[in-house]
Amino acid sequence: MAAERLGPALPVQESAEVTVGRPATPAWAPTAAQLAPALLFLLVFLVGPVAVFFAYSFWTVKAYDLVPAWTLENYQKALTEPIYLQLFAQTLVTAGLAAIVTVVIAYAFAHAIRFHLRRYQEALLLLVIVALFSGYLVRIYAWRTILGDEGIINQALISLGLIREPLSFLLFSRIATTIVLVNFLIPLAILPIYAALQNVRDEEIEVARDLGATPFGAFWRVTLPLAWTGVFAALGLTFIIAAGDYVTPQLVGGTSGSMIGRTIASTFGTAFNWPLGAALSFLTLVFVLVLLGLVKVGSERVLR
Amino acid sequence: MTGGRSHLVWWLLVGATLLFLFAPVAVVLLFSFNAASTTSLPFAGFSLRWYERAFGDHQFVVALLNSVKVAIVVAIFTAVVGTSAAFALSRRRSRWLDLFSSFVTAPLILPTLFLGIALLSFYTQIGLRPWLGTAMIGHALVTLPFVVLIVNARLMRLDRSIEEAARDLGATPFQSFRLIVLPLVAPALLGAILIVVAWSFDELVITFFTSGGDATLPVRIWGMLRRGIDPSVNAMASIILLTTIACTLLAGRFISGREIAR
Repeated sequence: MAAERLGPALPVQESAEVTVGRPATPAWAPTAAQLAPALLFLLVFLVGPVAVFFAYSFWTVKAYDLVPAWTLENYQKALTEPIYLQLFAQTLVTAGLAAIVTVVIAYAFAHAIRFHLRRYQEALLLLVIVALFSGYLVRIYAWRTILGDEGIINQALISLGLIREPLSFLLFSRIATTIVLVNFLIPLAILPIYAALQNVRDEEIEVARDLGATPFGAFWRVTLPLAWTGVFAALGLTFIIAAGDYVTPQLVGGTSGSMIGRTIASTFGTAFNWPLGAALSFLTLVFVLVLLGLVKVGSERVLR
Repeated sequence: MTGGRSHLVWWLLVGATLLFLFAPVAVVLLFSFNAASTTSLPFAGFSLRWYERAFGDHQFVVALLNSVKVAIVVAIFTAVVGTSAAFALSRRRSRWLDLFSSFVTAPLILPTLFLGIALLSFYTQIGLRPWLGTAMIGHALVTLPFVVLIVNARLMRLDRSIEEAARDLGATPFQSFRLIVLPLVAPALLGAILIVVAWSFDELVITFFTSGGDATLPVRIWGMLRRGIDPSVNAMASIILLTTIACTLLAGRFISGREIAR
């Protein structure tokens, strides 16, 4: 009996405290209201599309109509037919190569402006950002004018008398795809690496040098491990973007420089097989993430 | 770090990288003024004929206007929604808010092809016919993180005591926002909007898959490229380049590169 009477008394006390101490709305309410539009927008137009797209990968096409068959057929086809396996391999090799070359160049650039050309770092960084936002399609097709048989490089080499016939492997090849991917990925990689290098303090490197480390030793043992999160972020980002690109292989890749993105785009165009395209997309993403996971584990062992 | 010679090496490295980055841009701008009808050397002399031809093309003018429409709508939407979210993120720290940050930036790390065809699948599934408006949604998805991140970075650097002082002196929450916080954040917001416009003006892949038949400037160029070489493409491309470069350089006056590099 006594307990029953005490029971309801406690909440009353508590709620009285709440109404006296704070306004009627809870403290998180304004934050929730400010977040709501963005959150709603993302839930509908990011989660929704990815969910539908994922569901499509289990559907089939019959008589030019999408049928919810809930089958693993598309994944099976993508993982067994040699043409797709070869495209996956080609894509991962080209994108991986492009990502590694990009990160090496981007690291050197970020290192240069962070440690050696400090006075100009704001201006140089602005140039990088201008490059980042200036022309994706434009940049890619411009390389046809540079690398083609009648392009700038071949014409220059011929007029210098270095070659007689144009170097035709420059365009419509894996080399072309890699050069062009690297070209538009570099700014994307410089930003996270630069941000990471900013968090490396000068004293940390100086101490290593004072203790007898060579410049390379200081880089390998101190700077790189400290900046690795940024370097890995750059590697991951450029690898994903490169593996999913289709404009580059389409415009400069030819057959030897082709990539899976081109095939995926065609399943959403002339080939009309959205379910297969969806399965190929998710498989590409999985392959890329698994490879990146391996790199992460491996790098943690090497850079300690 | 020590001698002038090592300085030179770093300048060479930075210079070579910048040359590589800007070579394609320079080639397109240069050939857009070339009098000859082939896009190869030698340069045949200065001419504006490709610009005249571009502006004489009705489809190009329509595409240009479409690009402007998309950029304006996307800029307004992301500015309002993104600034609101940035305020929420700057007020308090919590695991949920960190999760929200990664959620907002997710579209930036997905290939645009993936986003484009996922959106197209979604629109088809819910029975929404693709047009310019559905393309705007895709643009907003990718550009929203720019506004959230840039405005949030500026808010975090603001001295919160200024705002508290305003409140202590009798300002309402709205007054302190309108008269104190907004003017201090405005330059960052303006910079973010310019970045959004630059990105939107340049976007091809999402637009191609989600705009139905409505072409923006890059989609129009993409269509022309598939049909063969027409030097007026260089003029059209140069208009994109000049717009995005102008926007980004202007953005650089309002926000520092370090606020974008995160």
